[in-house]
Amino acid sequence: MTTTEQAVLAAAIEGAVRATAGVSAVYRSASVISHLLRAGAAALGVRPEDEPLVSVAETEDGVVVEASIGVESNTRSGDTLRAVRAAVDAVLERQGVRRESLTLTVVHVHAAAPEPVV
Amino acid sequence: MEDERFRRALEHADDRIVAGRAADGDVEAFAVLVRRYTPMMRAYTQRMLNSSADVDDIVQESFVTAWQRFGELEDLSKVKSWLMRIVSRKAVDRIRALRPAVDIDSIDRPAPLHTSPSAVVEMRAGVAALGAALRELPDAQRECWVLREIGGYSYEEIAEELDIPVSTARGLLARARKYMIVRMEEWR
Amino acid sequence: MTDDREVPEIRRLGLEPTDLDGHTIEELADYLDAGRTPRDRSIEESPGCQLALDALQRLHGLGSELLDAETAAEPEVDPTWVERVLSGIAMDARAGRRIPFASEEPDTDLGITEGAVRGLIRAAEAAVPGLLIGRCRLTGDVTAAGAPIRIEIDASALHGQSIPAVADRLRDEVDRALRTHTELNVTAIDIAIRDIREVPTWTEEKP
Repeated sequence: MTTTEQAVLAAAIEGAVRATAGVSAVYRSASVISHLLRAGAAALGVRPEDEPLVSVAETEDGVVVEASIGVESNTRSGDTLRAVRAAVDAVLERQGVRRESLTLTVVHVHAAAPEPVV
Repeated sequence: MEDERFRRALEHADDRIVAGRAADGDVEAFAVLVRRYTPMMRAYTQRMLNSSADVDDIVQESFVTAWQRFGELEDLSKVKSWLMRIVSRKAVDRIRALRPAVDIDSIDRPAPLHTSPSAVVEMRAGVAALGAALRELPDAQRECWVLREIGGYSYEEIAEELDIPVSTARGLLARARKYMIVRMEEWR
Repeated sequence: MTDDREVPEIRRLGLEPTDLDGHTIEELADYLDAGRTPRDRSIEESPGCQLALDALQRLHGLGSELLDAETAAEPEVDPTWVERVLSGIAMDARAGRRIPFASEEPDTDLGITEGAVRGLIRAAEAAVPGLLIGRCRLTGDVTAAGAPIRIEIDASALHGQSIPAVADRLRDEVDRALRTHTELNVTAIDIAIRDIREVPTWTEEKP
């Protein structure tokens, strides 16, 4: 997979993640892999705002995918995470890409607006 | 509506509560600390440096350091003196950057007149006299005095902070105290 | 006050060892710092020393007063200043440890950060009027599924609230939030209400 193909894949995955019910936001991952990917992108001249937020790295056995998400407070986080996993798998299957591992982390629970007090 | 009242509650809450949340990563609580302690840190920095240049940078850098180092603060209720320590260190760093070594020969030479505080301060006349006398001290003596009498540093801590022997710190402080006592008694 | 234009040579108050019965200003300052104990007769019975000690004492108090006065004289903190400071910090909300969810699939890691959970706990205060949450801790190995976890919360309650009632409501709310967003085995939710602070703005608005 070329770097461009990787970026396209990451963008597609990010789109699927955002569209999943219960997801309120996608955040920049703080993992080591993500840092390395960003460093690589920077070296190639990709601007930070153009980088996908979801990390996709290629290995011999397939892609390593990492995403950090925000979730809505009124949906169980476990349910949201499993829904995101299904959405990511769907994208990979469509693209014919094998997955080596997937790491999904909730980094923020978005509090609903407080109920008006009588 | 409810949200608004809670935000104001945080503004007035005890240091321990506010610092606890800031230490946990709550940016709103951290902003409360910035509002609460910026005036004190500015006043203290101005006294350390005897000028108002660089004060904003020093106070800002101090807050950034505090955010990074909240994990080191054991007793959250002591956040105020912890912030004072951080700003002392930054102020001294700035002083040392501008003046690499304490010039022992100059310890008796009076400091040139620096800008006085921009606001007209309403205070007891004795306190005002102290402020004026402090401005007259040579730099090294003033720094020792401020660290000790306002910052609460020990002699050893002053020596470490200013990178001078403890005996020099004691000597500078003794000189500063004598000058201040005499000026204050004069005023009386 | 004196018109004396000479460099300070005060007749009454002397600060050299000859005026202080052999003691130095440094010694007296140390003596004062030690709270004047153990009692030193040669100092306590020396009039010169007493004068100097009084002067040192006055001076010491004035230092803090000066800081307070000049702090009060500082202009009110501008919102743009606060923004400037906040722009300098990394707002990553202290992620902390990673708390896992059960994953039926191998090679799939699902989790939530400790930072997110703490944010969740803090948000619980919105459901409990009259309470302000401070620091919260998760003790135990949160990274091990099923490990017993204890939640410790520092809070302050508005003056006049019934503390046990407020604590119970918060406990229920936190428990609910944790069940919704984690698979933690929470064995206890300890709430310490440490101080009661009167919030003037609130009492003003009471019906």
